[in-house]
Amino acid sequence: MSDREGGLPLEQFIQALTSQLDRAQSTMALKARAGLPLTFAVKDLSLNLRTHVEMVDSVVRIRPAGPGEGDASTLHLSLTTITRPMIEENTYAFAAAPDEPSLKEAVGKEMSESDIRRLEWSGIHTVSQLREAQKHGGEQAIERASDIPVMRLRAALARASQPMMSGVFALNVRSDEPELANATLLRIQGHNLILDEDPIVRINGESVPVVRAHPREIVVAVQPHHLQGKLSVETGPGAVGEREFKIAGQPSPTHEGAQP
Amino acid sequence: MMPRLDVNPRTMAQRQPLAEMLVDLIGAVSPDCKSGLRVTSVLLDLPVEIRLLQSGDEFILLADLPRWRWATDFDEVRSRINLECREGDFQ
Repeated sequence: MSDREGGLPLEQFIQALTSQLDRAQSTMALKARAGLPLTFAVKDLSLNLRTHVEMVDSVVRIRPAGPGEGDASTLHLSLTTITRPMIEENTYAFAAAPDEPSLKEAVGKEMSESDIRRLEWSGIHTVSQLREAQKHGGEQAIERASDIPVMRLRAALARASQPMMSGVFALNVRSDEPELANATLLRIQGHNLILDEDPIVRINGESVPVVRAHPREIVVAVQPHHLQGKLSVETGPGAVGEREFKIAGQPSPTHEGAQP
Repeated sequence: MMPRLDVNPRTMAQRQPLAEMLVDLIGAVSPDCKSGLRVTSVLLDLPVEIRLLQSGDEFILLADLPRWRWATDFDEVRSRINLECREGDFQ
């Protein structure tokens, strides 16, 4: 039985119910801000729903009873309001960087629109949230919550963990290290630029020294013939990001300590 | 059979989403200091006709008070909602 033909998973029904309660609450709060001196807020709600309950492929599905279906089951649901501090106390803090790519940008090729929507419904909107949820709750928990097979999650996470480079810029400074004194410093910006160990950075196939590395930024010391070509960053086995780049003009260098 | 609709759910035979029904009901007894009387809480126990509407990928829970005093075989089986509201902002 498909959603369209009969029932829908119980989780989706509860989501539809809570979504309506949220909407009612927001509307009443809006009315209060619009000038009503006081407003009500929903404290508790219980619903005795006359419905048909079915099990399809280990998923509990329900369909509200229609006309003439007096022998339907009764599903009793009780909901109560929880406050923001209660939510925060019981939720992991998943901080998303402001310019972090969305799930769709990062794993849009591996996951369908509906997969991504189910993850978002589970509260996972960014790759770092997906990674954190996997770390804390495990793949099985995400699979249960989002109904996405573990293998597809792994493939998506592997894809999302690939180094991505958004820009390459020449720094207007020189390294303080004597052996790199004549080198130009390049700043590579992006995501996932470091995993457990320092990344291996190559330009046109030649390995270049990494001065410092951060998940969002790598600084490498390069020679004049490294100012254009194919840049690759390898953060682990099979985790390689590549892009073409070209530095326009030569920076007039000072020493690294002279500028932040 | 679950109806599918890609337009405003209010156009479907005047059925309304649960949120709108709740806001209408609670709005009717909103606390108003000017009247001298002040309602501080509301407890409602209502028979409702519940339906689910699929609009795109979203499911909308429609809930209406019974349209007739006596239910007939042509009316949906009634569910019940028990709702408690209090003054304040719980968000």
